[in-house]
Amino acid sequence: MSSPAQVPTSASLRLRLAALVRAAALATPGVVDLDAGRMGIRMTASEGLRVDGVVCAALPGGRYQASVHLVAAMVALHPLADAVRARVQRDAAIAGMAARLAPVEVAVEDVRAPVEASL
Amino acid sequence: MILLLRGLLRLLGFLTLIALALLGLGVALAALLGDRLGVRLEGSEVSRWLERLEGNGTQTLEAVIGGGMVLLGLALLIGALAPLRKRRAVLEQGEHGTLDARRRALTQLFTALAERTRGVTRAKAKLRLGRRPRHGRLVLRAERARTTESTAVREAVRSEVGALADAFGLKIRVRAPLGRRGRRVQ
Repeated sequence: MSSPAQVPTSASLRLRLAALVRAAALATPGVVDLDAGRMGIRMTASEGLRVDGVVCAALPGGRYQASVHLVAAMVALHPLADAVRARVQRDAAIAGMAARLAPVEVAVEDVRAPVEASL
Repeated sequence: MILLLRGLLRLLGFLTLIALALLGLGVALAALLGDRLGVRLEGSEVSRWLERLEGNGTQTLEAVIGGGMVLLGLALLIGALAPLRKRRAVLEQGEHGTLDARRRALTQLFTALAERTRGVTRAKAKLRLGRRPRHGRLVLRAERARTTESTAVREAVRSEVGALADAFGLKIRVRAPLGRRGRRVQ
């Protein structure tokens, strides 16, 4: 599992984007965690590093498609997805990578009650 | 069901390949070394069976086996061609990206929404997603207190989960039986 701070700047753009998406999603209120799945296949790996819960794939034209697999709190899903996308867009713009990121796909893998989430 | 048929298809496909390989080997050996191995169709069990079939027309056993094979073939075709039931419900899909949710997550959401409805003591959601996107059926069992009306609880639950169910294109069915004694009202 990697955060943007743990991914070196020399890492591939795909991996850096995945780490950015992961950090942005986790910082969004209503997102409890990200989920790499039982087999741990929902992740992006490169150069010995891996970012769990985000699948980042290259698209034609030099852009990247990020799918974020999250565990949500008991909140409305539509606003949650919009908030995740907005946060990702904002962070990507700050990092100067917004032009390389295609619209983010949001997949709700699980729902956890707030009490359970805070444990 | 379709998952089972797909599994059956894979198993039978594997076994058929082995059987075909062995049959091919047998035919090749019979063709090459038939005389030396003593393989002769005339007077054999197979020859007698074919003669009996030609002579008396269709036999019951053979008809049953043939019919069974036809049914098996149809089942395998369905297993190979029918789309699998979706495991994810799609909320939105467009130029802004996709939002989908796993069935289990949605079931938990619907259960929680139903349980917070006034008069409901316990709720259980069952979600069945269709083979096409934005098609499915949500069955909610919301146990109610004795002091409440079934119709009122059904309507309340329906209005509580309606918006989310509509967003996923789900048809809702709500049942509101009396809850067991001792369960608390929300």
